[in-house]
Amino acid sequence: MNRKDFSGPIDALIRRSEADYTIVSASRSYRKVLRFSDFRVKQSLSDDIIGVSIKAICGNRAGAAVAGSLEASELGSALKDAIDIACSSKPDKSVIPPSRNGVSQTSPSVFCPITDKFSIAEAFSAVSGIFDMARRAGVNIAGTLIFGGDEELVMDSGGFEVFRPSTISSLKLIATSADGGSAHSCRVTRDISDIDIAAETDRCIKRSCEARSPRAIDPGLYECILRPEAVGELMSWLSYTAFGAGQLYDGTSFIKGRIGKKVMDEKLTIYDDGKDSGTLVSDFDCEGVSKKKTYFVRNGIAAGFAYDTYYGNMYGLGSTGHAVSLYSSAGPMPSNIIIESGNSSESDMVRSVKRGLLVNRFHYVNGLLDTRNALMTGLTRDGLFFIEDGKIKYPVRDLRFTDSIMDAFKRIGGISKERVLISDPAGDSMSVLTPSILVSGLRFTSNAG
Amino acid sequence: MKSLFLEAIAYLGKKGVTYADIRYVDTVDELISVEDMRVDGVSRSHDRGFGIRVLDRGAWGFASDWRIGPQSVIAACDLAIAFAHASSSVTSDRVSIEPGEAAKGIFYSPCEIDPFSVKLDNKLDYLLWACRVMKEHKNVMHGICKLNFRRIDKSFFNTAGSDIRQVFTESGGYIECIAILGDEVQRRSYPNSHGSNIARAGYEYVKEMDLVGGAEKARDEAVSLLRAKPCPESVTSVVIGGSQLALQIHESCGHPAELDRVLGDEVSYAGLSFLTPDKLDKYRYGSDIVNIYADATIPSSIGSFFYDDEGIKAGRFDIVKDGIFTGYLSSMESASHIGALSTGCMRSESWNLPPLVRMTNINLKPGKGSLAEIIGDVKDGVLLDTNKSWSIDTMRLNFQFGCEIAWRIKDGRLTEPYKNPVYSGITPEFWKNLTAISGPEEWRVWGIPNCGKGEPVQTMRVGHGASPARFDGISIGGLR
Repeated sequence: MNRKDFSGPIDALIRRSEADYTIVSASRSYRKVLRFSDFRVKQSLSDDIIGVSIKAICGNRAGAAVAGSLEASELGSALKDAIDIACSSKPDKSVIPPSRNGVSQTSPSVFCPITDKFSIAEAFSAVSGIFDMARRAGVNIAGTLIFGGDEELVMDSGGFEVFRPSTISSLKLIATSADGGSAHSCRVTRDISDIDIAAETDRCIKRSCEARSPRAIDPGLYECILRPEAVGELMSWLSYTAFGAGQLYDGTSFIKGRIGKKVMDEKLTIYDDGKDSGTLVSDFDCEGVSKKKTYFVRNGIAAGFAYDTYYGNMYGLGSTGHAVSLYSSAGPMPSNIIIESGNSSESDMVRSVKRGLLVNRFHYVNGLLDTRNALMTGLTRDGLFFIEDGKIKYPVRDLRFTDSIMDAFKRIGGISKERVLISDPAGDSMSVLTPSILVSGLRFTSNAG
Repeated sequence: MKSLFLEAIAYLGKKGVTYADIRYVDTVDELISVEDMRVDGVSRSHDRGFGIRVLDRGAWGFASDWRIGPQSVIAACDLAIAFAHASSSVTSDRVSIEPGEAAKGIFYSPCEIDPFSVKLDNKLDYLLWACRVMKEHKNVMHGICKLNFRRIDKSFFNTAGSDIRQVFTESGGYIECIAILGDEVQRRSYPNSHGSNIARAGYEYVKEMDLVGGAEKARDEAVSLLRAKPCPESVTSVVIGGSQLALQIHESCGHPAELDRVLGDEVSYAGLSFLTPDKLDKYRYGSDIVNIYADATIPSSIGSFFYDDEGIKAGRFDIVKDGIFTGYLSSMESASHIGALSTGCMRSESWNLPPLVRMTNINLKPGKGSLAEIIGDVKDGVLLDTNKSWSIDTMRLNFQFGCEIAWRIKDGRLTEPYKNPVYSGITPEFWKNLTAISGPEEWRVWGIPNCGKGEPVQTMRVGHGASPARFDGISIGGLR
């Protein structure tokens, strides 16, 4: 679709609106997905969806409705619903239109023609190559190859309009060997030609071989090198339980009441920046507000929260451009988390560990145990290695950890210079640009089954 | 609309595909949220589209579109065929299925009062009333009340001749009370946490929920937890309330019994299963009183349907019988791998994604006696209620659950509350320690709306029937 196909019906809709203020956030998402395991493509699909969210404000009352189509009748019905809901709702002084300059904006290009033109035949050829490499190595391989794009448009009754087409691609692999070795690899990028499929496959296969025949060790407190995938999982949970103003409001964030106080090691700085080219650039939110660089933890000190217009107005701070939806009550959330790099390398970190673990990845983390203390539990997955006297000794069987991430991140022994972009293209749109982190103690509470 | 899809089925038939089906789904949602006496959000959404699944040359292809017309439907047919042929080109294995008998008809889930006909004012007033009750205590910082309603109108056509329309109406709601004292934050939910209280029913279900009565209970318990002791660490007898037991069944029995997962289809996302085919009809999963069954025919549950998304009629079958593992949740394709027929568990979140093997209503058969009688037999232990956190390993063995509240049981009576309880275990060891299940009068189905599986992730609605039950020798603890 071109911009006019999108904006034409929505512009006409907004002109018809009798609300004091009307904002529309429309998004189209289209993907082709190949999901494979056991040397077969188990799912091959084309998915194309559209959502048009309409928010009407009448005085200090708001209503929202969503249409899954651009048809005039569907849009008109949704607009009527939004206005009816606003009229039936209760006044709320925090309900105001987003604050911006009111002029149209241009978003930097995140659209890659190579990804856009990537064909089904090329995708299957790539997967066939992955199968061949895995067969030769004697390991099983599973994963997904995804490519497609998004179109996002925000328009309002004040004349604001911004449109962003983007492309997305990813390759996710899990290689498993018969003797218990397992490894994971995931690359997400706007430009599919940035993914070296053979190199990713080769690395994943080799890592699964390194993880063969894992030994059992006792749970306990271990020094841990958390590789980017592991750190990314923890950050995703913190974005949900701690970094949004909704968690400030309900009092459940570990940052609440601790702004300006030390909550983590001074080596650690965590922020959100949707304009950083190292992330999946996403420079405005669904309210059309430009994303601001927002610190959550700066040099170990609690620094702030992500806001949308509603919560920004409530706290008198304005939006940081982190609205998640026009109709959800979930509150704002970061989408492009970045952890500042350090000056170590992963090999430096390994050399500094006397007795510890190298964690590739976590599985089924849950951060709802005690959010005020960022207490989480989860299991290791796809490669856990025992380190002794500065050397990786052998793979070990998976363990469950249960610990406060706030406390664990108070004891940081090193942060790598190299960072990796972590994102799950089959899940939500969040990304985390993160280094590896050495924590001097993470508590493991049991052995996996 | 129907003629368009029947023509598409005819088109696919002429193309000579082995099998094809088309789903057209039209969904309307309404979400209403009140927090602290203000309207936090009210929204309505309408979504519709179609998905076409083709099996040809021994492989599957799927295509979907939100634009509905002759051109988009035929384009999707051709794209699904292209995907199937391309899939076929990279493997020598061939999918073999046995479609069910052709079915025709229109089916409606029960609904006495159309929830979309109830005025918004009435719904908001009800939520604000419950919210006001929670806010009556000074330590209650937040009272959150939500209602949600959905109508799904789904049509299914396949090359075996099926022509099925199913209309489901769903209603649900819950409240959360957050009490704070200094750094201590405690939460109580009613009737269940994480929004897990939805039924296939009309607005009459909301009327039966008694959110106002629940608000008073949630408020008092949340406040009591602010000064409660942490749950002590021990290995002891636990009585698990119905809603928490529902999630226990979900994670430690429902997911490992999904045959596609057993066969490795989910390894890149959720993992595998310890319930491998060699264990079927032999493996001791739990004690003699463990009887877990799938039943997609319970009229008022969101895990129910009349036909699954492959056109297989809904049914009931055992997963664990007298403690022995006896059955899988399966699809036409996965069942063929173990020489069986589908147990009718293929469902898709929406029109735009292909169906996967999903739980229906996975239930623990009730035993005898009341909850009070079960507690009465415990000399020293705890009662655990309402889920707070959940985590389980890739094989579905090592689990840890956190609950919102525990009560100490001493000499057969509930005494003081404990805060932040967790319990953990290994699935078959845990179920072998099941020593008592309360009776039918305590049994109810919990509708869980947020079961995640697949890539792209599909969030499915499932149900779990359970009554409170007692397990001995369970590791418990309290965090902080």
